Amino acid sequence: MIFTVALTLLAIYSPARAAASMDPAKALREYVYLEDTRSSKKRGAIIAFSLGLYKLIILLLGINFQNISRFLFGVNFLFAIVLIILAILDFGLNIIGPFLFLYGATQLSTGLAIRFHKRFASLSKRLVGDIASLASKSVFRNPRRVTALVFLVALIAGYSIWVIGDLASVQDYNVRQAEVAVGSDLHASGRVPLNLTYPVLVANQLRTWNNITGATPEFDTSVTLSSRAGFLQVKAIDPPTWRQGAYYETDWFGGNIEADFQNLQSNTQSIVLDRGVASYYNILQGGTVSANQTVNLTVINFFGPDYSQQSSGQPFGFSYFQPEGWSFVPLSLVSQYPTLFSGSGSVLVKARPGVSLTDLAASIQKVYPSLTVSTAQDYTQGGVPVVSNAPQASAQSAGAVIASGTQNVLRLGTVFAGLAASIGIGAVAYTGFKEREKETTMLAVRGLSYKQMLGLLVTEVLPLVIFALILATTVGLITVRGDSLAQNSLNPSYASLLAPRRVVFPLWASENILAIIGLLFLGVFLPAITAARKDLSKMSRTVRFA
Amino acid sequence: MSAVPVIVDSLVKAYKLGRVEVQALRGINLKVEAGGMVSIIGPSGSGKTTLLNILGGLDRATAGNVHIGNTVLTDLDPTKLVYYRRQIVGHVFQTLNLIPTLTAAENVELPMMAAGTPRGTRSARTKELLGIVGLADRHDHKPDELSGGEPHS
Repeated sequence: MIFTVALTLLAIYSPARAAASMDPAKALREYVYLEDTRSSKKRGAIIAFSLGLYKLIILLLGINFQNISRFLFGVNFLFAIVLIILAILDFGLNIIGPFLFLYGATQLSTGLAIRFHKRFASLSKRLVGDIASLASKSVFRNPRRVTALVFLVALIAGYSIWVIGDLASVQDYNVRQAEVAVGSDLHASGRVPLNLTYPVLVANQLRTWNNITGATPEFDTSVTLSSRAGFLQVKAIDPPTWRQGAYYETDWFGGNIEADFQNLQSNTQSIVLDRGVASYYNILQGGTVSANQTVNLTVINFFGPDYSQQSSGQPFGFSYFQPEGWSFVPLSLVSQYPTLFSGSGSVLVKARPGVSLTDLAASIQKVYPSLTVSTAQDYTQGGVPVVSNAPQASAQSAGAVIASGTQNVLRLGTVFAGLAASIGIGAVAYTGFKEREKETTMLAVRGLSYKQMLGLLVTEVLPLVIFALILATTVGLITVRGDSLAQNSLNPSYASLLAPRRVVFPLWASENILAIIGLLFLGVFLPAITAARKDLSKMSRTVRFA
Repeated sequence: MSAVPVIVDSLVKAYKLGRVEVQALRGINLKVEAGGMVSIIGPSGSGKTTLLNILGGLDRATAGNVHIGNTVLTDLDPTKLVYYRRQIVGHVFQTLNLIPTLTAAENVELPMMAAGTPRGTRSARTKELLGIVGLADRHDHKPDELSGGEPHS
């Protein structure tokens, strides 16, 4: 409310002062359009632009000053002070940085906007004829209003892309982290460690279910690799069914994933080795490793990220390395050497899209009461509560509902911001057209048809909105990407390295953003449609009295 | 376009001012021969501008007919009235009513732009028209840069 009142006062103060200082003789003689030729305040714009640009560069580089404590030790004192000042500045710019950039950019890019507008007008000549070339002449008579309009659109669109993009990115990250933790949509394991036989049987039976797209048995075990490494986590998998039943991302496997799985199937004594381990011990593709000092396994490829630099160190002169990832061997290896591998079997299940994981988990639980079923939804914070045997389910459910509610409020907030911006743009555009009603009426008197008038008025405002949207999209995407990189740098766990936060715009996010952009365009078109319609009786009054 | 006669038959124009109806024109009859020139004189408020606005296609009559050559002006729909204003009739207003952002040449060129006249033809015709009224050397001046009477030319 206060913001709106302040904006209104600012908006009317300048025109009122200009009208009061007009030459009365000239004003009485004819209609005079007050051109606002004052240049915008450059100094403030340059400062805002510089600060905003600094923040965008930091975001582009993925630098997160929350990690500053890592770098403070062992550096020069003065450099440490500079780092602390930069961290404080960065903290302040976290929210307002992109907006400062948009403000500065819109204030300083009037020349660019004019060129863009003229180019757009020359393109729209094909649609509305040479009349389009008049649009640029009218609109840039009031550069401050133009920059205000561009800033308003860029602000709301940029903010929407930022918030929705961040929401989508976080949601995607949470879901993938849950899938990584569970191994798939659902994970069924025994209350006591299972050998291989039962999971293979259950997986075979589950694959016939209609609401399941894949099920695969898995055997989690650990081995020692020669005498070089400590325990290495290994997943024994069924190569023909694993990719249908388990969650994975193609880029986790280096090279040709198809060939890797064919090799795993055809060669019992093969391994897809944890890349961190391979990198730390310099194990090459095609080389061999000895599992539990008994079986030699051929390394056919590597899996996951190379975390060897992060998990190693030399405290007190002793070097150490902690394996964090896992490797894959075929199930046939465990079958062949049943006494060599101790661990537990389980079943990974992929549900058909749209199927409730809660209901599916309950169904599996009912048919196989000896199994404990957990779902990916148990691990996400935005999901719907699920029925499971886990005692912590109810506590997680409460958290899930709150997180989900917050996200919905944020999404709703962006739509309301879009609606408010649409009304704001509509008001600015309508005021501009209304102020020039005499002019537009004279254009109608000169023989401009409704279509031509509409084309002219739309050509006046549309390029500004498109210019602002380009600016907003650039800033919004940089911010979303920067936020993702910053969070990744803050949370360097193995799961985060394996499935890091990324920039995604799923259908719901694209729909939300398009809805907001649609509202912004509506804010341009509706006033133009109204202003282009010239009622005859109004026309005669305007040319006589205005 | 060749000269055509103008026939005004029982023209009525009534305005609503709040609840009161004001009759600006009460059954006007007028005939102007093709190529003829007529001055309409009357006291302020007698309906001169109202009549001219109707003849110029800027206003609708409440009753009666206006014939411009073979065209019944009072029967034209808004789209045809646009064509009429663009191609047939010209207006000189009491106030300037020029577009302030456009130069003298662009103001003259505007109806031709609306009519889709090719640029070359437009430019030549604009030059010719400005020359006729003695504004050839003021073609790139905006309305507020012209002297008192020049804009009416």
